[in-house]
Amino acid sequence: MDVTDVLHDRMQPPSGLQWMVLASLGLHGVLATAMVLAPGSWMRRQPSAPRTTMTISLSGGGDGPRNGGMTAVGGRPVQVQRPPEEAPKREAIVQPAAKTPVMTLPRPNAKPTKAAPTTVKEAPDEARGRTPTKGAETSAGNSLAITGARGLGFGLASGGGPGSGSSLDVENFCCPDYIMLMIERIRSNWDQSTGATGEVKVQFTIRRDGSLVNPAIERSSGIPALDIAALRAVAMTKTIPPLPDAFPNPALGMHLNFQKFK
Amino acid sequence: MRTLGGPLLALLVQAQGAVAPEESGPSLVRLAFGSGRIGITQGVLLVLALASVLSLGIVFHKLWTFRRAARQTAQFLDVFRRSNKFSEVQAVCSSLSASPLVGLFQAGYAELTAQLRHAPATPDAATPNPRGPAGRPTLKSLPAVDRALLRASAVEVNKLEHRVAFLATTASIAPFIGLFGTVWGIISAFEGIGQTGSTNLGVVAPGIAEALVATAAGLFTAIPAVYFYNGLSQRVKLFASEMDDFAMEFLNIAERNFT
Repeated sequence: MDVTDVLHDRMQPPSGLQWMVLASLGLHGVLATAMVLAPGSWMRRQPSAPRTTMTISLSGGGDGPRNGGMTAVGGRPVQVQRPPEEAPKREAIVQPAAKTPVMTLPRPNAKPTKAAPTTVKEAPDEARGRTPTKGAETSAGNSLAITGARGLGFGLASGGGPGSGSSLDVENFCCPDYIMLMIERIRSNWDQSTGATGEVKVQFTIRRDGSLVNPAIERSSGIPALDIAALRAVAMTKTIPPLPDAFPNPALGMHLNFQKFK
Repeated sequence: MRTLGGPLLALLVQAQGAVAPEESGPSLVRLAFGSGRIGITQGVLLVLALASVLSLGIVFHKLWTFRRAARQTAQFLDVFRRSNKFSEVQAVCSSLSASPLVGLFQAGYAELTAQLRHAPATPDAATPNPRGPAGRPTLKSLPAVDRALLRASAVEVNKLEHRVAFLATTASIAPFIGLFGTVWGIISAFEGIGQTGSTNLGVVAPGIAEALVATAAGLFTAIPAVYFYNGLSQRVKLFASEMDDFAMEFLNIAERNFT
């Protein structure tokens, strides 16, 4: 048998295609029937009833005046009554009962012996029961009342310390918000990276247009780095918003304390 | 999609509800053939259904054939490696004819027999013995055997690939056919809008929805075709490499025993 004959025989494609096409046709028929018979609700979503209420929550559980967080400047924590702390109950330490002495007859010729002085063991402090409380105590609460009052100090201080000691050349400056703004601006320019600590008093003038002029050291800290950092903070701030209209004078003198803590 | 589809669907339902009471029937089939007209869109759907039936039939057939071929190839290789004589292997070939390796073997064996028959010092040419003792026949040309195997290999690969190309064609043009139906349907839908002079969604939407069914059908046809085309091509490649391997093995045995 020649190779070509062999190949010719092998060239016949395998049979059975028509059966497979029939099977495929059947499968398609089943699919189409399923689609025809399936309830229409499977294919389309039922329009849902319109919702009437909408709830928007802006608080998101964060701290705010409504739920007891600290708010902006001027808020004072309100003193609230706190229930007295419950002292942990402790069990009294009970001394074990003394052993019953064995009864013996005294020897008739025994000398009377001096009894050793008995030492009374005092109960330890923990066994003395509860410490009496003085009733409800007041302490710093975590709710806030907006009083509108201002803090006293406007000075700048590094973390932790109170900002103290700034003074104005005029009395009863109208707008503490303006001063707070100025201090925020200056604080953002204040380089606190120097390791030294101390207090610098800087004086300068705010002009009507909001420019800060004539910065000078009023009281040095004795450390040049701190003095320069404070001066630079003022000098770099350069301008802040113009003086408020409620303030009549053309310029405002400022004395600002820079306190640097560890 | 949900947010977009919700209002649109609600409007659709409303519009239908205004014309006719809500029907519980299926949406797609009713959409496609509900109008009762036989237009281009319906023709496209018919063509796509035909293509889908054919391609799935081919897929079933190919899967069945390949499975049979793989099973018989394993059996054939088992026989081929265990037997001492090519004539023994030739005897089982007829029962394992689904395997492509059988074609290779038969072609190589035919070539071997033809060469050995013309060899002068061949006492038993018709049944060459691979591991025979001295005085064995010799081959005239080993490259000729190689060529015979190559020819057989080409035939077998052609046979394996037969009709697989239809799947590729279906996969690539079915979406376009569907798109054509959709575009045509939308054109006629807009024509209808122009004639009624109404932009009411109740007039516009059913036509467009009907048109979109064609695209869905195109994708429905194309996706399985792509999937199975890739799978079947991969298996053809596997068979081809198996055949190459077998050809080398056959040549080695022939060279060892007949030269």
